[in-house]
Amino acid sequence: MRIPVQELIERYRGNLFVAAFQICKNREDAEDVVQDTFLQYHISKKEYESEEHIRAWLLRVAINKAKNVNLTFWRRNKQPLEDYMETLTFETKEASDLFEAVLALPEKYRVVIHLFYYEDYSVKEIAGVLKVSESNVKVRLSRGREMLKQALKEEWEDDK
Amino acid sequence: MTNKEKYKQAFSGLHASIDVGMEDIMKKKSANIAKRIAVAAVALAIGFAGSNGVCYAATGETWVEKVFIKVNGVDKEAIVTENEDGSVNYDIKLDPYQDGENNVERGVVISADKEDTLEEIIVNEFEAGNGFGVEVTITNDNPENETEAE
Repeated sequence: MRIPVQELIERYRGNLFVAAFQICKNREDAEDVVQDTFLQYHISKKEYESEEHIRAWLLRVAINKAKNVNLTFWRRNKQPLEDYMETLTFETKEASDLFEAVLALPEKYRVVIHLFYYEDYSVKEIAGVLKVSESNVKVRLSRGREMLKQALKEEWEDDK
Repeated sequence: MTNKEKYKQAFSGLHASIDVGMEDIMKKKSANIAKRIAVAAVALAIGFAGSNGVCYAATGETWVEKVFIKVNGVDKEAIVTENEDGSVNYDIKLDPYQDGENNVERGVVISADKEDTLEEIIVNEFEAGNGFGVEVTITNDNPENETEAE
């Protein structure tokens, strides 16, 4: 099945932007990643089993593109994360602390944490999106949670 | 509040500042073509011109070197900084691009091993298919009008 790209943009651009941002830590790069991801969908002739399959594919492509931005040979001039954070509005100090704590995690833990807590994916689904083993996802999730707990203390519950 | 709810609340303020539509995607497609053309011109020109002057300045723990190069025949200055991992960044500032009333700053940063020469880096990376990244601002759909790297 295929869904018109305009419909996908309406449904998933926000999710793709947040997923890309938590890897790139830069608004302009994340926006580029979102556009590139939809462009890749638009160009490809791939058929999908379901909308869930498309969602997972879009997230996977966006995550890979965002990682490539961080590794790329050429980089653009960037707005520092601190400057961008000043433009964001957080409902509480705890929300701001959590945002900073997540972005301070190593990338491999950050991605898994994000897919679990923001996208509501299960360990098995995350393994499918990232093409790694379930045990690997469990380890990353566990270590990421430990780091968040250390950084946030009582603001972060134990939810193993 | 559960951790999931806290997490979603923390990231709820993040929104793309652009409206992504089909028009933007088609512009992006044009831009990708323009970028390849623009970078080909820059990379080839740098590759042949090479570095032709060097001076040093101490800035705390990191040394800074200025390398003068030619980009499409025009003298440009590349700032060279050493990273903590021992690699080196060549930061080449290009002339700003006028987008309406705004000056869009442009530049390229090339990361490399300290031992490599600028000429080798440019040529090797370009041949490896990594020639992308020059900032090109889209003002219309005609890629021919968006390829001036310098």
